[in-house]
Amino acid sequence: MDCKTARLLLDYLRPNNRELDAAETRALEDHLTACDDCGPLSRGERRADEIIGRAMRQVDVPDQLRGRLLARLEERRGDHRRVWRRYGVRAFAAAAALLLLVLGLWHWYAVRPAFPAVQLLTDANNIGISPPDQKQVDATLKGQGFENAAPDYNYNHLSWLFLANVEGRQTPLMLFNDRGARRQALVYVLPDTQFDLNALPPNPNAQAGNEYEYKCAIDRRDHYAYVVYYTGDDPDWLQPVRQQPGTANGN
Amino acid sequence: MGTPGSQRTVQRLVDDNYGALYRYAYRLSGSSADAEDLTQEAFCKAQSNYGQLRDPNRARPWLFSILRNAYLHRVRADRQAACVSLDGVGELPEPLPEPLPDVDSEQLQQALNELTEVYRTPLILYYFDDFSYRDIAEQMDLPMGTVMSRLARAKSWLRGRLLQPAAAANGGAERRATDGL
Repeated sequence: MDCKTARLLLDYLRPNNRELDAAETRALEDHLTACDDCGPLSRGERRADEIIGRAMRQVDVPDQLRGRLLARLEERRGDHRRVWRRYGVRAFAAAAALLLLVLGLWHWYAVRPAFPAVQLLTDANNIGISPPDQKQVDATLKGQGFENAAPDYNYNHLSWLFLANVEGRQTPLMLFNDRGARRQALVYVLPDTQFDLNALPPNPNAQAGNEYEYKCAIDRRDHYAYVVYYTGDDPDWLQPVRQQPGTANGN
Repeated sequence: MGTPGSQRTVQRLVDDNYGALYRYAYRLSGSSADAEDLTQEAFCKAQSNYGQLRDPNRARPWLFSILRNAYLHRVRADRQAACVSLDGVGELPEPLPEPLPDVDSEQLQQALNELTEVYRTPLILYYFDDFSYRDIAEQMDLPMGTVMSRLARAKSWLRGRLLQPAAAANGGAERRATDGL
């Protein structure tokens, strides 16, 4: 190693030397031992560094410092815990409120049937049959997964049978027309397997309003509710024609 | 915000480092009260953000770095403090007198107080012997060459100031009232 290189590397020759590898360190130290210029310079540098370094590190650390530090850190830890506990309670309350809100909305939307009669008519998927009797309607509905769903109505007035979308669920919708009397009725068939029938409003007319000049009645049967929107005074014309006693034999 | 350290972890951090950290803080600030405050602040931040320490073996540089940032934050409003300029100070070592005089700790502190932080910090870290040039460069977020250049000038000035008092009195280090090193 020459003097120029040795002077460049001299700065790296420190007590905790981690920047020169073993070979470089050995070569430098060999040069410093042998060189009459670099050797004394290096020793002088080291002595100066030792003197200043010793003074630099000569700082009295207060006796109680460790205890004060740990006490303060414990105090801060307590503050931290209290803050997180407070935030935790608030976050939990907010999450619970949000969950209740979501569950409430879900329940309201999922369970409570709405009555958008005209809208559903336009959305309905026509699987049409006409003009059937109760057995045929029952069979058709059974084919769609609705067991014993056809009520004993007067199907002579049935114009169409749809599958309509009610709150995201496919459910039967029947359109009855009494052309002679210019009356019409829409009957939604709501099974209790898909809808909470207890949630149906007790007074459906109050909810339905008269935007479409329909009145509403709810006909509850086993496992089904039939929500009937009708024009005219009442929906009695949907009921099957009862043969009067004595008329069956043609009298 | 990082993950807080456990009580045992933080206690160990304190036991292993509080002396060195306090000495560093004292040399940076020149005041025992400020040194204790800075040490306290550094450990509090370390406790709160312990999750940011990726390598536990690098806890000391991490703590020193936190402390330096805390110090810089405090002195930011005090940048008009009188400091010496090292513009005229060379990097090559001047010949030293024989025998070398002893250096008093307070005398050293007075000299350090005259230096701006950009020279004082590498000087302190260098003489603490715990840090390589690379460590110092990382602490100060500077290229290693810049750190070595500043160190050479600061060492040269400090030696002149402490080991050759007569030379320092007449030397190239002129006092000025800004931090513009």
